[in-house]
Amino acid sequence: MPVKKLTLMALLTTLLLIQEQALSFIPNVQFSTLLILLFASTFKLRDSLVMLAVYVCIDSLYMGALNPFYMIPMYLGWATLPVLYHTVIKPRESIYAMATLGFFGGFIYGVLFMPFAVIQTGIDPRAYLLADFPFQIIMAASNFLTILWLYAPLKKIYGLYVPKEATQ
Amino acid sequence: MKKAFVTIGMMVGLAVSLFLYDQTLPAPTAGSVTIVLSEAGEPLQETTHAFTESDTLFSVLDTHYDIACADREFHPTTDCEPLSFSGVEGRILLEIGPLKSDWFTSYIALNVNGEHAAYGIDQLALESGDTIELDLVPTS
Repeated sequence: MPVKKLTLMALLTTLLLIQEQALSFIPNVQFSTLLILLFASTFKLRDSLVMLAVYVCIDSLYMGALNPFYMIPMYLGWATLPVLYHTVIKPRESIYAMATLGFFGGFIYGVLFMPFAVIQTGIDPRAYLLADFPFQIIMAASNFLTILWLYAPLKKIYGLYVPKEATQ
Repeated sequence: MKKAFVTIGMMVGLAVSLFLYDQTLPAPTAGSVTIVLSEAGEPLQETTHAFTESDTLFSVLDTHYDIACADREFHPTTDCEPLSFSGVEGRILLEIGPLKSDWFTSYIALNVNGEHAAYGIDQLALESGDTIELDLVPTS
C-alpha cells in the first residue's frame, strides 16, 4: 500500500474520531455518517472497512474499554454504510439516495446494538427498542440532513485535498 | 428549493414522530396507594390507585374522584384553585365522591396508615403501599 494512501487513511480516520468526540455532547448528532460515505466514495470498500475497524478500536479505547458488546455492533453499524454505498448507491450516485441511506443507517445502527444489549444485560428487547427509538430517529434525521446539505460542497473541498488517484 | 422543502418535511416528521412517541409512553409508575373514603370512621369505599413521581395526593384524587375544594369564603367549588395559608399554597377538600362537608358542621380528615396526616393533600408525600383515609368527621 502506498505511504500516501496509508497516511490519508490515518488522517481521515483521525478526523472521523475527532468530529465525533467534538459533537459528543449532543446525543447521536455527528457527521460520522456523512464522512464515512464521503470516504467510501473514493476509497475501496476494503480500505473503508479497515479505516472503520481502526476508528471503532480507537473510539472504544478512548471511551474506556474494548468491550465487544459495543465494538461489534458499532463496527457492523458503521460498516453497513460503505457496504451499501458500494453495492447500491455507487452505480448512480444521487444525493437523495445517499441521504436516504443515511436515514435508514441511523435505525440500522441503533437496532444492531439491541441483541448485544439483550445478551449482556438481559433487558427486554421491546423495552430497549422503545427507549432507543428517539435516539435512532434523531440520528436518522441528522444523517439525512447533513448528507443532503453538506455532502456535495464537502465533496468538492475533499476532492481538492484527497485526489481520487491517491486513494486507489 | 427542493432541498429546503425536504428539510422542512424532515423536521416536521421528526417533531411529529417524537411527539407521537411521547404520547405512547406510559407514565412511569412510582407506586400505588389505597384510598379509603369513610364517614365517621365507617369505610364506604376502598380503591387502590397507581401514582407517578410527579403526582400529589390532590392530583390522584382529582383524577379518580369528583372533588370540590373550598374557595376563599369556604364554599365548595370544583375549580380547586390552591389558596395561600400563611404563605403555604394548598387546598381544602370539601367534597369527594359521596363525602360532602360544609366545613362548619363537618370536615374531611386525612389519615395515613391509621394516623392523622401532618400535611394536607398538596404537601403529603405519597409512599407506595400507604393507606390514605379520607374521613368525613362531624365537628362537635
